Amino acid sequence: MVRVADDVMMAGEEERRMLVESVAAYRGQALDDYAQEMDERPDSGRFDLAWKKLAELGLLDALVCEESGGQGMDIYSFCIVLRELAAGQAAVAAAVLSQNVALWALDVAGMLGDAGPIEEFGGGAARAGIAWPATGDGAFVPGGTAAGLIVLASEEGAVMKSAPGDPTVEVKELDYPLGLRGCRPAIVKAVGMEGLAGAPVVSPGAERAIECRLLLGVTAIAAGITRQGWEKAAAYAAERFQGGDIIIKHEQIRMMLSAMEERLAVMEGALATAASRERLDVAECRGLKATACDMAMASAQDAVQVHGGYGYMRDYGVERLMRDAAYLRSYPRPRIATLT
Amino acid sequence: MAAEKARPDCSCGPALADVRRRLMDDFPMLNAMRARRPMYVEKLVKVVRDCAEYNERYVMPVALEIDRRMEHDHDYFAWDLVQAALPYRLLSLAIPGLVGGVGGLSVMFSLAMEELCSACPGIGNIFGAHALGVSPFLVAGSMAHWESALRDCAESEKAGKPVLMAAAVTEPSAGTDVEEPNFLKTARLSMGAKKVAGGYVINGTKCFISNGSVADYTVLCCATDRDRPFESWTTFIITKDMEGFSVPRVEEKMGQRACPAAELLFEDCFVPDENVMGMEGDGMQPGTLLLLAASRAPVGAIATGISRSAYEWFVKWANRARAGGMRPIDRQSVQMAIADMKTRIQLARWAYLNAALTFDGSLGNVMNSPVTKSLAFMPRSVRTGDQFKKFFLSNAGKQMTEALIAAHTSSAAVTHALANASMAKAVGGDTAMYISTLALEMMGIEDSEERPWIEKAFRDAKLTQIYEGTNQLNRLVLFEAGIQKSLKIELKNPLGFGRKGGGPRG
Repeated sequence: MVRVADDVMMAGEEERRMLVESVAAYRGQALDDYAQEMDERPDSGRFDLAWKKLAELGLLDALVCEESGGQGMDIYSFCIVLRELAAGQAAVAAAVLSQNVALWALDVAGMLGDAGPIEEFGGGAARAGIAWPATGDGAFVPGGTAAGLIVLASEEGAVMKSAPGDPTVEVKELDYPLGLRGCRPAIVKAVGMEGLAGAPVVSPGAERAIECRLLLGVTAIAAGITRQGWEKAAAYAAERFQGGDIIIKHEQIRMMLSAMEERLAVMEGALATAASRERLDVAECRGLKATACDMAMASAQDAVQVHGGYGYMRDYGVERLMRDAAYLRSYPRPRIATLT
Repeated sequence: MAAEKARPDCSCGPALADVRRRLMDDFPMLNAMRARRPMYVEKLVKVVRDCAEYNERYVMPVALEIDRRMEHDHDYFAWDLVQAALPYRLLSLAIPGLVGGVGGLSVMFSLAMEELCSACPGIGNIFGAHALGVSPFLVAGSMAHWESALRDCAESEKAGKPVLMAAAVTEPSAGTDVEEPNFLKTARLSMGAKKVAGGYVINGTKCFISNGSVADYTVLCCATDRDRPFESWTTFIITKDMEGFSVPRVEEKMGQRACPAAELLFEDCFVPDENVMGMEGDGMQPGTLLLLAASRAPVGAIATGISRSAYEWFVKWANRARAGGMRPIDRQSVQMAIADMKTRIQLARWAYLNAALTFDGSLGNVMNSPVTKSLAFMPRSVRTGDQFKKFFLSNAGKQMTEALIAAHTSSAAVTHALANASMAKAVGGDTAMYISTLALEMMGIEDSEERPWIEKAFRDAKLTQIYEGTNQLNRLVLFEAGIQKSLKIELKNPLGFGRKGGGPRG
């Protein structure tokens, strides 16, 4: 909570502070306890309950501007929200990110009205996701399996939308995913279409905006995972007795915990800088996302290691962080793809 | 012979010549050894070839299915796969030939573990955890224990009935603490054995015990005096039908699921004196230290098998053309990654082989000593007779066993073996985690044949940095056993015989 307050002081807006605190409170009350159940049994219905609550909080159309009927949240505030959610359940945060960027892209492309009333996706809790970049090999879409609306976007800025049953789009639930399981992710392919031929291109200069929003959102989720790992590991280390004392007094454990905390500070500082720019810088976002995901993976692995054998058991919910972090590294696309 | 006849006659598995070539390429040390010990090296080749055939014929078709099933169905155990392994003698690889086993030592077993775990470390570790249960018999058990438990295991295997073993060391409140002498001194233990007439009564819980829910014999270490855990750490043989022994829980693990990790509960469980292995108080030093010197090289091999799995599936993925006709392997960054993976696998491989050779050259000498081998010429009726059993279970008999070990090795040799084994374990685990993570990141998330295997390798790999002592502990052991020595600070008598450092007698 202290961290939330610090962030908000930087932003300096009371309204934002209240929103973020409400998300943090929601996480503490409703998400943390069910995070493991969502992961182990994605079809248990627990995710749907969480989704409805997120709709009530106005987080499912947060990025869409107010003129178009959304919440008009700025990207930095949205990232703080994602980080809060990911500190409880990263899969939920990833699905919220995918939905928001999907609706934002449609809005920018002037196609939001064609998808139906925005209220359905906001307060109505209808589900959407974005496949970016839409290619013949397929894109990973968190929450894509149950999404009624899939937005496909190309690297060139072309945008099109698809509903279930559309023959030009193949939506396939990812079989036994390693991470982000709670949101039932899908692989979405544009069938027989090269570069979304014929789809409208978003306004010039905004072709990288979709990517930047996804990258910043993933960075925020990585920060949430890092925070969760750090909190769990520190709490465990303060209780676990080994080698004649609680293990937090062992130098090696302190080094691991310090490294997690340092990574978190670096991530949050860089995220605040990158997300607060008037014009988002794609190179900065790419570098930030890659670095943040590496840090999240290292922190998650360290968190498991601090827990020893208990960390490897699912009851403690720490191994889930490793699995989720692994998928974040490849979302929205693997690093190697950014080299082309 | 029955097992030999039952062995599948099929064209599965690689040709012996191909396996021989691969092993000689991967292990130049074995190639060099071939000139001096051709029959031994050929035996290693055959064991690895058998493991490869077992993988191809039985494991690969079902490994993913079993992994998924055991995510939720914790009571399931792949008995059919264990049954299928009997003709390959995988359960008696580490059991001395004197009592019907294959008689392989650490080198043979490590090579087998890499091969088995390159397909599925969960299934491979069933045999690994079994061997971990066998190891205490080799380093501390008397001939009477060999004739009862080890022979039972080897003979049952030949008869087509699996008899599994396990080793139980970790307690809920003490993991690292029970794997290192200095830590044990301050451990907060929840389990204890109390001396009563004719034996001991054990109360308490062990946790994360691989094969714990399916083992016929479990070798258990615990304190007979919780205020003096180091001095009273003692090894017991537990059989599954003992009153007061139960398995209340099988853990839900991230990976290596096919090998169940169980909680073992002891409630006033009576264990007779004859089930004490070695002397009371010898459980940590030499007991556990010798056990870890024996078992950490194979754990390095398990990790190397996982690395190999991730690597091989990644190369297969990279070779396949993507949309647009491009193959990832044509890209320089992928080629660099593959070269890096290959390099690290080789280094991990040489580390575990080096550790296994060190062990075989120290404690392994005991198994190959003329005294031990001469027992084979003694009629079995004598070896299994009451008088013989009574002698080997007596203090005098146990001291003779200790003297035999002490005569064929030394504290310096054991210290060196432990240092190399800890090094191999740590480097193997870190390599497995590095390679599986890198493969996963480069491949990305897609609906492909290779993805589930690489993701499984990622889940399986993490455990190799944790079990058999965390990698942090292994590095501390390496420092103490392998580096301090060069600073002229000797490890204090790790063999511990003569009660100089180990037990309460003296």
